[in-house]
Amino acid sequence: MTINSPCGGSRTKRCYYLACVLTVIGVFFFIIPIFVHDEFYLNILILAAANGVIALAMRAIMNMGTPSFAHGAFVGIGGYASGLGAIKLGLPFWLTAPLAAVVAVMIAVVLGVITLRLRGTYFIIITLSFSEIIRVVLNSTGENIWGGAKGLLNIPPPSVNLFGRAIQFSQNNLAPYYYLIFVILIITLIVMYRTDHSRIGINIRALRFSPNLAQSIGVHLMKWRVIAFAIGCIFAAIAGAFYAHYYVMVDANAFFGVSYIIPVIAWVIVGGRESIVGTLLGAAILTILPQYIKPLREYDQMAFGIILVLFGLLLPQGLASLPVRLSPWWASLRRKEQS
Amino acid sequence: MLELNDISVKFGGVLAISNLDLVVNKDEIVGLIGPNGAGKTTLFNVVSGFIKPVTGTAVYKGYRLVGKRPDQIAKLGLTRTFQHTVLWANVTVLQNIIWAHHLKAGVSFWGALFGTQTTRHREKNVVEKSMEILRYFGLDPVAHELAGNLPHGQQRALGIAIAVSADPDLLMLDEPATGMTGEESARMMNLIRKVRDSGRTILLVEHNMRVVTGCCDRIVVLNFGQKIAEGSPEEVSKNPRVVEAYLGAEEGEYAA
Amino acid sequence: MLSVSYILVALGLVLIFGIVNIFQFSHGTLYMVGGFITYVAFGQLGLNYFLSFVIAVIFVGLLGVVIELGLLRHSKSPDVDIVITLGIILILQQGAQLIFGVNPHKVPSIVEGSLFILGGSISYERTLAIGLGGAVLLALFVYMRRTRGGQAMIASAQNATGAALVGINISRMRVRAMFIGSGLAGAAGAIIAPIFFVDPYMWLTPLNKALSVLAVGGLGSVPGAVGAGFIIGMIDSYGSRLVNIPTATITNFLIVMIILIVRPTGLAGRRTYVET
Repeated sequence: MTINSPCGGSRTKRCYYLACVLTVIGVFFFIIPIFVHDEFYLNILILAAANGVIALAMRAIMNMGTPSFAHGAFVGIGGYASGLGAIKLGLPFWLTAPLAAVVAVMIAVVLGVITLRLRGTYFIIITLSFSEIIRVVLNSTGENIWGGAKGLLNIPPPSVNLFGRAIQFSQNNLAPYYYLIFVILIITLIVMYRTDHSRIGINIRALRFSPNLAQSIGVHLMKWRVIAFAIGCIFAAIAGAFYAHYYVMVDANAFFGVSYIIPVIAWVIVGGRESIVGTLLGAAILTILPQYIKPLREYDQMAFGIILVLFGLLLPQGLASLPVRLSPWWASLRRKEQS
Repeated sequence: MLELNDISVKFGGVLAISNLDLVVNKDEIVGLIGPNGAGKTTLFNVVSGFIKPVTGTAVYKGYRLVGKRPDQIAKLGLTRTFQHTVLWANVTVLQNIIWAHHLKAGVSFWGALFGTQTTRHREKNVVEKSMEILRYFGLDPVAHELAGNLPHGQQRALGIAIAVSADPDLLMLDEPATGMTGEESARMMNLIRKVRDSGRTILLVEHNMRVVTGCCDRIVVLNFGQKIAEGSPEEVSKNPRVVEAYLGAEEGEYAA
Repeated sequence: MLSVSYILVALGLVLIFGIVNIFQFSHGTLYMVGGFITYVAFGQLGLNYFLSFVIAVIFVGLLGVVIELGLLRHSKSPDVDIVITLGIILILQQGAQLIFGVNPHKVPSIVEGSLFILGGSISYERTLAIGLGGAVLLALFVYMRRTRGGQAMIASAQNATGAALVGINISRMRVRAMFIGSGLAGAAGAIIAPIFFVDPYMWLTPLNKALSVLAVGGLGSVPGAVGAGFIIGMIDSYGSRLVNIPTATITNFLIVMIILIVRPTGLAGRRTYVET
């Protein structure tokens, strides 16, 4: 399937089919809160969706080659920006979330210009350093502004007026949160999909697989890298903003460490770093499964570690690559059946 | 079209190129030859912006090249191929050319986001144009093969096709005929002439003497980073300094 | 004083990076394992400290070898290396958490009392640590400079193909590098253990510091690592005393960032041009 024409071949027929499947899935997820009222399940789905956004954002950055260890920092920055916007400026969510995105983009561009020239390991070191600096600053200063080590507390939940009635967002009524993150996730998916298929996605992939070749035909290395990086950081921040209003608080230790980033990388790798759906699935599965499988929950970090190692060695392109990898085996199986 | 003046390049204390002058005129095919290590690829790297020279100027169509990034230089209409085949190996041949096209006729972000009419038009155009280029290079039968699976000769051709997709006025080919059989190199020669005849100027580095004498209008000989001879193929092959340079380094050389 | 442990950890990392060509992210957790082994052997079982030290070094060294032979050997790309070493961090961290619990443990002191010198006092404990660290460094340099094994390792670090051509078994070099490099981390952990606490999260700080050291000193350079280790150790100690810990940490990382921006391969590291 060529990357340029999403549906290839008999375009109308395949697109129609795809659209049907997507609509069914969409409707399914849309009606869940109508039937499911148990907060436990809704919470899991909400987390899965939010993590999906973060994973997709990380994938956008990993499309350039190396994961950014500042990713968690941007989730945190988004959370703080949105929280501060709500508390200090009294802005509603639909303004603080874009505010978080704007703050993130400004920082991301500056950081990107500084750091994106570096290769692999050095990029990790410098983004990690950045993350640590921000973490220490947020943790040990600014008691009056952002709460220092205690974190930013009492962030008001989003307030939305639909058809003249105020919708209650609270921990007892998770459905509004569910729809909110649902919408955010869909927007993320659309943007990521379209980016991939546009000049942005192509240039970034060209730069990743062969930077010298890409440059020699006119692709500006830094410009496209900064753009990809900025896109990833924006969505990380938006997810952070959501988390801030969901948990009603945000603190400097939640998202800023190495321990946070490693599972995020796992989501992308396990799902499939080349595929959008794969990444989303990876995040969803790795968020949902531990809730149900007790050993996974108690030994969650070890499990992640083992999963990372196994996937790295055996299935580095993630679950999304399984169909491709298994198809020759499947085909030979069918041939055996027929003979 | 291209004028280099007094170019010198240093690698950690060693002068890889010293005080080189070079001129390439429109519609010429100029060959750059010399023993291994004479500085030919280094010169390509300087002109295409991957390396900065210590001294000297390079002017292309009136633009100064020194200090520009490779992508800026490519946008001015100067592209190159690489000594070791450099391709996007894990996508198809057609994909390689499509990607190369997005420089000129790429779909913008907002266009892609909203799937506008112009966007879809442009996408179709790009695919058609890419197939045309593949036909021109004789690569259309393998259009849907992964580039990394192609045999060597076709990979080299693809490399040139990519560089040509960017619609350059000056094309620099780095050893286009390496590792080719007699038949393959004959085809490469024809290809090179065909590309020139379509309105481009070519500067090429090559070791294969048949290819060099066969398609170059003019030859420049380098040794130890300096120009030692220049002229038509006949003149140069009779030049005693040239003969000495090659004989002197005969262990590593293969005269075709 | 902390410089000693930073230098050891960083040197281990440099060695591994130079020969195995992998940035061993879980190097810090190996340091933690060294600390815990010392805790168990010396603190819990009552073995002689130096014996515990040796046990720790060897165990961690072997752990490094297992990682290389079992995992890294089979990795198909540098991206996978990163993923594997990151995974190991989680495995080892939670492993320690489950065995020893979340809280820090105190390892008993080896010797009490202080030395009064140059108008200040320094505990015997720390003097011993510095001495032990210095001894390890000395042993390392002797090995690298004087023995054939050491020379072979330097050769493979500088030019793997050339080394292979003269008959050096690269595969064995990798194993050796992992053993020695990881052993250094274990040694650092064992040295630090009696002075500070051991806990499952103690790997983060030395990893951060080692990263800083390598950024400043250059990823492939041994003298760079030593020099940078001193610098960063100094900044840390004096920084924390003059100002406070957070400021020292921030300065530390700011310096790392600045150096990486200005000189992308560190002050003394290898230079390769890939990107203009």
